[in-house]
Amino acid sequence: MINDQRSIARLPLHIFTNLSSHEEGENQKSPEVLRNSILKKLENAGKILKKPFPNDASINTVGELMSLSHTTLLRLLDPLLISDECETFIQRICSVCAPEPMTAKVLLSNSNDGHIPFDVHSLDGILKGGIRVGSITEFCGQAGVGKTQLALQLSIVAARLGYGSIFIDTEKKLSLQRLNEIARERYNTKASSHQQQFDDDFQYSEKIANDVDTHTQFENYCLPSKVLANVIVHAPTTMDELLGVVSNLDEEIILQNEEAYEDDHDGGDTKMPIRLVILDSIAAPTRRDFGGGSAVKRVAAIYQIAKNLKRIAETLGIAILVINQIDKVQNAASDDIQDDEEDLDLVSVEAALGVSWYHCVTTRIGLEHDGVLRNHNLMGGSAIRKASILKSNSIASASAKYKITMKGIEDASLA
Amino acid sequence: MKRRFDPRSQVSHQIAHLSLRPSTISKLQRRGFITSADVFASKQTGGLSTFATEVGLSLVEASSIYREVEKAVKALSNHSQEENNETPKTAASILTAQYSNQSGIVSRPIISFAQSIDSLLGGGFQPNEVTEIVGAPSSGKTQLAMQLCVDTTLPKQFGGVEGEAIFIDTEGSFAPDRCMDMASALYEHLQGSVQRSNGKKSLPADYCAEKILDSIHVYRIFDETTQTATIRTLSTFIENMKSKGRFIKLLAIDSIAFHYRASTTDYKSRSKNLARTASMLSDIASKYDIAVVVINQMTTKIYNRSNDENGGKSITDGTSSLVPALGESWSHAVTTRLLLLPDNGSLGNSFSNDRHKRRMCKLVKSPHKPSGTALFSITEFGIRGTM
Repeated sequence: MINDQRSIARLPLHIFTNLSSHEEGENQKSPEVLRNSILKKLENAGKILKKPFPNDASINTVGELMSLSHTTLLRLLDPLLISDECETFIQRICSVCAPEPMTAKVLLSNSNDGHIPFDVHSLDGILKGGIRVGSITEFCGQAGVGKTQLALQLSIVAARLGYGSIFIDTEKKLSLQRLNEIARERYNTKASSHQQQFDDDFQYSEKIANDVDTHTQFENYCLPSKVLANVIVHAPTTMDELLGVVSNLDEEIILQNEEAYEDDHDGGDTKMPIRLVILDSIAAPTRRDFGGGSAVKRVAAIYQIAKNLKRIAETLGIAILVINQIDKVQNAASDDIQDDEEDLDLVSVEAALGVSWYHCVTTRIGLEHDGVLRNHNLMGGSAIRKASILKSNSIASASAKYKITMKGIEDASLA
Repeated sequence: MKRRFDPRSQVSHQIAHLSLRPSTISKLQRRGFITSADVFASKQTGGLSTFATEVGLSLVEASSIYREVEKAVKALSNHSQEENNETPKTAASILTAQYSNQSGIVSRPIISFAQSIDSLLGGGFQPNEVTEIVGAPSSGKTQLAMQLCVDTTLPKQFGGVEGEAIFIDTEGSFAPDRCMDMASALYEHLQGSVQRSNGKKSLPADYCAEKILDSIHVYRIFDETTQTATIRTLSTFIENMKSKGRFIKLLAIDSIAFHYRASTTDYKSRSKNLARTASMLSDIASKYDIAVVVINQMTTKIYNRSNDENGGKSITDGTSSLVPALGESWSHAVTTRLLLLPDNGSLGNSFSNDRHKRRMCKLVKSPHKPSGTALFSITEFGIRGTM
């Protein structure tokens, strides 16, 4: 339930029934008339009360109404409601806006959310299955450590399982060739050997096997083109554009899923329901826009994105992967910092991406180069990397080693 | 004790100070009514018609105004009546009252299962108070809150309050599966205790891990307005539960900060809203004898170079540190503040590869106990003390 922007005009009529009982007999207004009178006063708040409202102030949403103090509301609605009726009015609205609580027992039995695996044994192992559906998982680490590669692989595995993904690319780094390459190299060739490999790979995640009828899917499958047909790409460049994309995501996903369920499995242009959203990265637009607005607004924007993504994840059953470039909270104690607003801005943005955003994610996985080998040769290089769980509300700390090859991400523990 | 409202015996109040509609106030003042006694006296002497004449309104309108004044005075006098009915409170009588309330249920604190933390707090998380748990991300705040919810159900025989918990989840961080782990661990621990007691202790018949989870009520809220609305309806929910014989003993909010930080409203209105919320939480804590636990986030405070009054430049500049979010006035509004830290005790680098098993918590604000630190760890069973 979202109530910040909820219109007061469309609240249930029973809120206004028997509200102004201080009036007697014929003077009692009907609920509709009372409602309209109240709405009118609220709309003209700025004209009715010179302070505390600016001249054109208008109260139309529940969010705005709730921020008023009791006295201000009493003065604003004068003479429609007396003091305790104002209190009752607000109480009734709160009852309508508050959700029903659910016991933890019910939540436990309802959670059939599941995971999307990476198809990398060690990594899926420490994650107890993969990226968790219904929450935000963040990857952070230095450049070249494999964050985008992991994201690409995830969307391919999701497609294999019959799910589409949305890729929000803020850095123009999405390489469709690479996506194609991983899909092809990893799961190439004939049907029969495919089947065997498929079974081996997915032995440790039984839940997923029950999820999808793998055999039927599998026969009609021609993977690389399927993946490309089911990864929707957005490329916002500014923070505002990103906010726009994120706020429209729920509608987009619902539409896409409707089309997917209407499709027959004719093997042609099958649309798959969306189960994964990737944001690569949160850092780029946040840094890019600085100098053009206050740091406070940008921290708030980061939180807005987190809010929307969390809501989508939970209500639509989506796994969200966000990529961040921070690998250290910047300590701003530097002689280079001038007494300059812009620089302080930069520092606070960095800090925001480090700490404030960190509060917002449910799971954070840190990626780094393992040991001394910092081999920048991505494709074909076998530099080992390490993934560690830094934050989680349900799994223990652990780390796993991986490497990046032509086939995408592979286990490195066996080496 | 309810007495019939007798206007004559009420203390007289200035009309302007009562919670009346401005139009009512001006109607009365315009006709010479300065105090509530004036209003009551007018009706007393000559009935409603006289009052109506004096105030220059129709009978119906005058009756409505009279009742409004009556209500306003009654509301004020209810407050003072509650205080005047009892003999002046001494500290001794309050202390005795604290250890047992009317229904005979002892006001025990909620334990966290880590003795070090409970000792730090003087026994555990105190009822009738708002305790804030603040810390950097991944410091264990949600884990501690979930553990407290589970521990609320601890039967009285084992030192618990045998109650139920409300968890307001603003970030989607409540993990029912993890909660189940904690509940199962508690249940097994208690069973072991029962066995060792050789029949002296026993668990209630239907007590089990599932029952524990059934006693935790989770509100998932998605924005600030819903958060405020939910907190305002808690009284009703708590009363409802009470009437069914189920007593809420803990209210946990994880986190109070998230939605405030997502809105771009100015700090002034945010402060006002927070102050009101803090006061509501405090009221709930004392009215229902509940331990209120509020989780707050950290934010980076960056210190500007500043010119001191003499025109020179201050030396500390450009440094930053992690401080609790929501500002200074919120810091004053909480009764007790507990800071969770990683084991090395610093708040600095948040990208650390070793999620230390041992963690530290620091009592930074408390009216009862001195500041101090305690070590604890987070295991597969939940929050536990360290050896």
